[in-house]
Amino acid sequence: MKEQLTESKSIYLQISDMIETDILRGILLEEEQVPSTNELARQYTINPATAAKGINLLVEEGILYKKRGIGMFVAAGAREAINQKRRKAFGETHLAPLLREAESLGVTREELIAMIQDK
Amino acid sequence: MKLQCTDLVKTYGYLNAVDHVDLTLEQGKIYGLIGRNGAGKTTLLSLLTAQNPATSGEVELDGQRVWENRSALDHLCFSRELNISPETGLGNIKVKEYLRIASVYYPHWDAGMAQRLVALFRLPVKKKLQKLSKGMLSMVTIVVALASKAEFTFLDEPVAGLDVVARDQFYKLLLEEYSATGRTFVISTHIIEEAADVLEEVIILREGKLLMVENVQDLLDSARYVSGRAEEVDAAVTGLEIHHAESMGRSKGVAVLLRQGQAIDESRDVTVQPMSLQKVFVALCGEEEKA
Amino acid sequence: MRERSFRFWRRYALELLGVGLGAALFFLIISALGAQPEALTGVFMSVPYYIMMGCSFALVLCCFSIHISYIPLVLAMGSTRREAFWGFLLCRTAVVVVAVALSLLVWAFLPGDVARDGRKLLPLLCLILLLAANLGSLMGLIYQKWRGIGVALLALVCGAVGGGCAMLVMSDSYSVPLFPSRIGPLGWWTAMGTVLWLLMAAADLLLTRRSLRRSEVKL
Repeated sequence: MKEQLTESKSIYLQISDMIETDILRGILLEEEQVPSTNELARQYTINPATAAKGINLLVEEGILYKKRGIGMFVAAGAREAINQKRRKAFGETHLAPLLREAESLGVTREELIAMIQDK
Repeated sequence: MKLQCTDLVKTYGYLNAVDHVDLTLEQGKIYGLIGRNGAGKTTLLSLLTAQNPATSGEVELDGQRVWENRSALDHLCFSRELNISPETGLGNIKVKEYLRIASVYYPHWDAGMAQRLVALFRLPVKKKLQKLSKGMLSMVTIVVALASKAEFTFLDEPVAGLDVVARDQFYKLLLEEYSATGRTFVISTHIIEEAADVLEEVIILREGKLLMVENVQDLLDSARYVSGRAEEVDAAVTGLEIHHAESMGRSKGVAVLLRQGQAIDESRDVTVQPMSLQKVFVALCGEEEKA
Repeated sequence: MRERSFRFWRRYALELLGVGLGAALFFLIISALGAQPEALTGVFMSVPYYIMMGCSFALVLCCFSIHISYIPLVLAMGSTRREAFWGFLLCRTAVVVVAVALSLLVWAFLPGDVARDGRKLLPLLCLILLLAANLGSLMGLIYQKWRGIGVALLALVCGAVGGGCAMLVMSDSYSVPLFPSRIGPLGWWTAMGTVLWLLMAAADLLLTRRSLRRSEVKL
């Protein structure tokens, strides 16, 4: 999780995205502990409450769970869950902008499909 | 513990520097206080810490008046910007002396921390205050604020005069102290974007009045910049709270603050972008462009 | 008063005393250096006069400057105005008490005219010290509001006091021990002095209190 924070997206979302990406990449394994809110706050120079918001988002989605008195851990099946989630969101986050841009440029569906096949 | 002010007013001549402000500060948060020059930030901080008498209204800590109240004042620290001029008699006081007096008056003063910070900042303790650069004076106020260990600590422009590296150092120290102790910090600053990540809530003051007190992340989640052709933009934001509309030729850009349940009409051909805290502030407190 | 506030004012009182006694020592040395050998005992018998002069000087200057330096500073650090008021008053009084006590100590056990006259003058000298404090404080309050007038007054008073002290010290060292015999009816002077002091003290304390209540801390 050594990326930098950008300005384009809410910080707490970036935190949760980073943790998800780390889980996908195998940097954080299932049943392993994730950095605490204080550690995240220190690393990125952000308010601990903001880090907590990002983590709580993942807890709500079942990707992380809390072990009382110890900290936050990666839930079993988290990797698969994240994969599913991102697949579903792929349409909205990547496809829709692509189609909008194609439309504004006047690129037809056939041209688009041809471009994809050529890549 | 809560620090609360009710209907607080401070009048100078005909001007209300602080204009009927109701504010509650909770324990364990980092607040940012932002506003243009002359918006009343320093005055508000002075009133909250009983360093200025209010014209009317109350300031209470856990229901007890703060004014002339020793036990309440024991929990507060206002480390203000030091403007040493020949008119104030303080120029002749040495840094060492200033810190010594702070150590006498703040009941929870942490001498060890003060020493560490003085060493970290390489403060020339034997020098008189008038011989210090603006940056060094800022560091002195930061040392006092952090080492005071007060439950409610107020800093007025703590990073004025500090270079980028020193500012970064300050934010890290602040977070470290906050994580360790859960003290409440209220920081007034002009360097909004840098501080934005560190703040939990932001207090915006405009011409003496309280404009808003919001969780920073919530505010940023609800603020969007919509741009494109003027007609499209207008259609996309009908019924929404807009600020600071700017036009250039046929294009228009406007800042939108979404309320619960509201959304921008994205079927329109407009670009919707998130906004930084600084941009939100300018949209709210900057001058409206004349159409 | 919180113990912490007391600590601050106690230390300030000691510093003030240090300045006053340091000045006294300075006058003593100058006097001693300029005196004829046979007059030296006279000079040493006059130590209390030097203490009075030094402490008066110190009181005037410090009480003047405190309104723009230490008082705003302690208020900024969380002192209440009440504590600042009483702290200021107590430390000035402490300095006066110590100066008078030291003088009494010197003159109580010494034989001779100088000591005897000195003992008689003590109430008046005590009043002078108290007046010096009030004067300094009042000038400081004036300076807060009208800078120019305040500075002018300070220059005037310091010039007069300084000049007076210098005259006494530099002149024929006999004149200090003989000073008491020149000034006339002691009772009248003491009475007038007391009245003057009461008026100045009232003005000083009331205005200081008023200034503190309304003050806005600006550092």
